[in-house]
Amino acid sequence: MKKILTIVLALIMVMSLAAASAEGIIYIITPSTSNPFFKTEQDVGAPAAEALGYEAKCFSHDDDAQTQLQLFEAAINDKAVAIICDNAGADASIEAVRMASEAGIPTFLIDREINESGLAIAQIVADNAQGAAAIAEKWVEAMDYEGKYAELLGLESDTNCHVRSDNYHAVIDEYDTLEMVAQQSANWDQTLAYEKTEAILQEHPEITGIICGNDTMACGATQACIDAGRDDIKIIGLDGSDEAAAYIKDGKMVGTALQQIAAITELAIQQADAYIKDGTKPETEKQLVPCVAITAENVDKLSAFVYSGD
Amino acid sequence: MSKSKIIIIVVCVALVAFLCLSAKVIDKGTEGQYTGEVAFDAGASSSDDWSAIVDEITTAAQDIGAVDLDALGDGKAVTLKGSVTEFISKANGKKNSIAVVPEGYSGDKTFVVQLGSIYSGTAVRDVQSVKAFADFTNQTEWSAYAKALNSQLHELVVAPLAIDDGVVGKTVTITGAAVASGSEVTITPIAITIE
Repeated sequence: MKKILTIVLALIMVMSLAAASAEGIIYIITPSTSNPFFKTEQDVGAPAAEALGYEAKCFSHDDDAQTQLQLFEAAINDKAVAIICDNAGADASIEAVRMASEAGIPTFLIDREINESGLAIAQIVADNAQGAAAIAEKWVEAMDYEGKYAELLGLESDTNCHVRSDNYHAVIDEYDTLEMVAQQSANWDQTLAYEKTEAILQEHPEITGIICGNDTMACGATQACIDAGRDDIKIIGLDGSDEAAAYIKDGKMVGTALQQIAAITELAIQQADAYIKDGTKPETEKQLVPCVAITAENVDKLSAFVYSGD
Repeated sequence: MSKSKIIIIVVCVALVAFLCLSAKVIDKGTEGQYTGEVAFDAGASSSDDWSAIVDEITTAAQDIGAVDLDALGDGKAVTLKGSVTEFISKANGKKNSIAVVPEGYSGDKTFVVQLGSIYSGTAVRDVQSVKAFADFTNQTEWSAYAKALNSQLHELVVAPLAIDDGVVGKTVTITGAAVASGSEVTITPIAITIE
């Protein structure tokens, strides 16, 4: 009995030593991983952190600021050494990041920015504005500069929903020959996008284009158009997912703008590591990583959110 | 009603009346004069910066023959002299450009100079260093700034020249920001001279 106790105690000591010898815990908090884009953040982030000697813990806030706040509290209680976060809203997330900062835990934001500087160590985001404008240019050409179209918006509480829509329109609205006849939110969701597109096609059969705030919705819209026998409709999304790439290869979608999220996540882990090890901060807090416009011309170079071209 | 209650009510009424009378009504849109917070205006910001940006790009511009056209990235300041081979008009005349063959150029690229009034891309913004992304609150403002610069160059540089298909065959000298897509180099001009 005594022997067993000794062995157990020894095991516990070894295990706690092993844990202590790690560099610490990095929290990776993202929106729902049902979207492959956010899944990539966890899939790339966790092994990158582990390769540098950290323990990675991945969570999803499901775009709920309250859940996100609880996850930040958990990170603080867990004495995390850093938080990598794709946040749940530009204004709603400020409180959580401030709380971590006050507790001495550095936050590295990826994908989405917050409307406050000086709280996070880094805000590394894909240039959604440039990406949206770039793919909108391709779409306008594909539409031959005229026609009626519909727009599927993302979750309206999300900054990127507006950044993308605003920048689509910054390009498209310059042409008075392009007229938007329907604009609805499909909450970034594929099934909802499918249903909304079905309804829009019935109500506005005259449309020849659909612009979508992300690829998940674009894929839903594309499938709805295919099922309705409308392969004349020019569709764009934004993200650069493999599913969208497959539709682009098939000529069912005009294009997408790739957000290089794998590269962004790796960069965040590297910057977190540098900050944890010797306090090195990135040159600027807000960092933009350009998007790549993907069309039939270069879609072959896209796979798993990585562009291997140029 | 007790005496103390009456006193409290009188004091409250007097206080509310005082607050109403002493409050200053601030007209909508003029809050900034009081709070010091000024709404972002990309147009105003770009016109203030314009001459500094023109100076910067003019100074930095390299002759197109000396530039690695496969490494233009987000954009490079260039200058080129050549003859106009084509006037291209798209979208009912709203998106015009000219094709230029630079003097002495023998490579396989084609060169297109945007003439608006609708411009594509953010090349001018991306080659200048007067303003950086960090100077703006978010991507939307940074994006609006690029657009405002394009409007600025159209208004001050391109529109006054009223270029039409009569330009074909003439020699032009262009300074601007160049980006490449495949074999096509697109230049957004900040200066145009037609001989």
